[in-house]
Amino acid sequence: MTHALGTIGRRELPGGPAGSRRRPGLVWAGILALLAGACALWAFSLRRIDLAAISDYGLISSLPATFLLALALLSVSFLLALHAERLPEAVLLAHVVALVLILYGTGPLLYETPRLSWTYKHIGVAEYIQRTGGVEPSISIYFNWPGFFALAALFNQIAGLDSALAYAGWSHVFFELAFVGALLLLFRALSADRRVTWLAIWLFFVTNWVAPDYFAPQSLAYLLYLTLFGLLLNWFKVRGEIDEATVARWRVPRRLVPLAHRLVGYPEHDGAPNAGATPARRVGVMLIVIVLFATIVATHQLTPLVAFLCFAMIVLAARSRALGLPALMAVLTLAWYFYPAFPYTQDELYRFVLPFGRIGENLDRNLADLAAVSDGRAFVALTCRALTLSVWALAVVGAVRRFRAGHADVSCFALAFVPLVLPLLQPYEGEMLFRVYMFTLPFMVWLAAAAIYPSAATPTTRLTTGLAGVLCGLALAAFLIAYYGNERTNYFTADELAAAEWIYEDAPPRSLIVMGSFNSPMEYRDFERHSIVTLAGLDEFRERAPGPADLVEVERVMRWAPSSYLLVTRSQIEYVDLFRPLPAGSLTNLEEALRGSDRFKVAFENRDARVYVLTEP
Amino acid sequence: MDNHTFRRLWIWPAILVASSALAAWAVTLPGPGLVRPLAAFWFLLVCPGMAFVPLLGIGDRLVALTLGIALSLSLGVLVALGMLGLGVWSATLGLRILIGVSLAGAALQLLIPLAARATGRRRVVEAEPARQRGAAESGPAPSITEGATRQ
Repeated sequence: MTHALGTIGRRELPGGPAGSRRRPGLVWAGILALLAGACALWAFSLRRIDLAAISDYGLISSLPATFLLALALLSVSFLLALHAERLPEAVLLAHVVALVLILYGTGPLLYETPRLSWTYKHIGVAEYIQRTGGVEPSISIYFNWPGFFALAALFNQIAGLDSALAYAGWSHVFFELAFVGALLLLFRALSADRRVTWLAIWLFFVTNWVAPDYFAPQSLAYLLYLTLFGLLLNWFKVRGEIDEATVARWRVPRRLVPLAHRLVGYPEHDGAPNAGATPARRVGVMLIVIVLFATIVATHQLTPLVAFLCFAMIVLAARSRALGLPALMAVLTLAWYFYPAFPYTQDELYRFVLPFGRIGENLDRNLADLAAVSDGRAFVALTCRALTLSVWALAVVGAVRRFRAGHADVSCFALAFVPLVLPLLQPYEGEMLFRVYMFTLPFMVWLAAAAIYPSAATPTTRLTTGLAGVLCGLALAAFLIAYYGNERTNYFTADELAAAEWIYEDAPPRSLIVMGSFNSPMEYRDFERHSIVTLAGLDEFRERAPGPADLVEVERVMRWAPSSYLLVTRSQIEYVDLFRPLPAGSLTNLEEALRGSDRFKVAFENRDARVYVLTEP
Repeated sequence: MDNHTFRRLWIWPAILVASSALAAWAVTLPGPGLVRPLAAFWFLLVCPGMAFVPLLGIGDRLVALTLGIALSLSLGVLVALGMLGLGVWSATLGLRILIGVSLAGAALQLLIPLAARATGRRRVVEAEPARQRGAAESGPAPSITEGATRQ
């Protein structure tokens, strides 16, 4: 079948190659040798990474030169492959897979336990469903959107696993690899130029520092979001120009018809026509789209709203023939908010509506105060901001160049720019800018790639290849700092997990677990059985270091429950030193005081964690 | 039907039936081990979705597989939520439903092209006298089977 979706490994696509005209066999052999060399160097580097040497600047501070050399070789090989004549697309795919494994597989390969503290909480929610066969919306917001957790629980039980602890760490690689196919589906709908498609895919993975790829509802919802729009853009797009007569039929006031026509009457992006989009298949695809959207609605609270806003804009711009879908999206989303998720909606609606329009406040809550964090953390945060703004700026350049080349990628613009309004509506617990970047990223990087190759007629020259190389290199350098910048706190040792496991084995139901900061591998089991408080979250300790005089206060907190445990771990101490929710060094000072007090004793300890209990419970 | 078309027609139904049988057997194994999680992972990740995606005629195998994975995950979520909502949570029931969905899709993958092929033959037979009358203008009859099974 010959349609926009092409065929990896066999098909020649337009926009191909102008370079490497001589002896293509030699070029191909060189590309494959570079690819193999990059993978071998990476494998060699893994054993030489010293996790104990990670500084405030993140994992990059402990990466050996061979690791960086592997990435450099891979980038050069990719650029050669991108421009090589008649090279099968499977080779480009192999480069992208290698990139994903190096960038996102290094963490899971190095660490003994899953990355990120939230992962453990999500494992715990799935374990609750697996253990009880139900949900309890009053315990946590997670139970109001339980789709992802229910799936994980079902898988665990079928697989005979007690929880997702054994495999959750590999979610990063799983989701990133799954994104490859979804992006291919999306980008081929936007252009038939394979240089733009594969350069955009490459750029996605070297700029995706927010990385919705861990064991979380957002990761699943994001994969479905990309797939859903890939389907809609391939099967339901309106192609070609819209004439004035068509615009006039939309009941636009007669005087505004010329203006409306100027706004929407341009040719859409130049993706190849999808000859397989027969009416019967469109019905099938629409059913799949509805199933995917229904899953998103039941999985994540923000993603369906973004999908609705973006697709409604595409329909308003007359760029999709699925005219009724936005209404269905709205109905499904509202139905979920006001029926299964009603316990959350009822309690939180005012908090949801209150920040509407307060863009200054919402942005303030999304940007860290760099004066209050360590120098390394400030550098990482600045790198994240620079990378974000650079991608967006380059996307604007790409949009302008595409427009000047005769393309108006309205659907792409909607998907790239509509999510930018989200900070107007919500701070989203200080994470809205992350989410905005995440939702816009595929379309922004596509436009960024189009800044170099605005149309299929743009020739491949040394300048374009050089620009692509510089762009990939700079993005990759920034990515290594941005994505792995907080690695001192993002990874946990087996000893830390052993301390958590000791507490869960020892603690009677309804115990209180007190932690220095939230950054610990906790809540991965018995989610509902114990309460957790953090000293960093208590008003008593805000902005001052807990010292010996505060042990009375710590004891008072621990007496809130008949049985209490105070857990201090390596990653909590690192978190406090890096992000400063308490003054740097607080937890170390507190531990010294605890050890000198006769009111507390060490109940469990190993190299990276200590559990303290009261001597007189 | 040539060998290539035959293989394309049967390959996913055969994989789906084999994977369903494997998953149904693996779930009876004691403890997690290695086979049981791998069988569960493969089945839940690929089968329910790939029961239907080949019907869309997507040429690119990577894109088709991605779509199959997304649809499999979605169907898994919806089945799990359905059991939660109805208060009948059971991994065995969930697996049975998903196996049923996969086998139904496999059957559709076989039946739709075969039905189209049968319809095509009937049309060709009915059109034969007319074709013989105006053979010079009409040319060769279109192969509906080929069209229906193109992927």
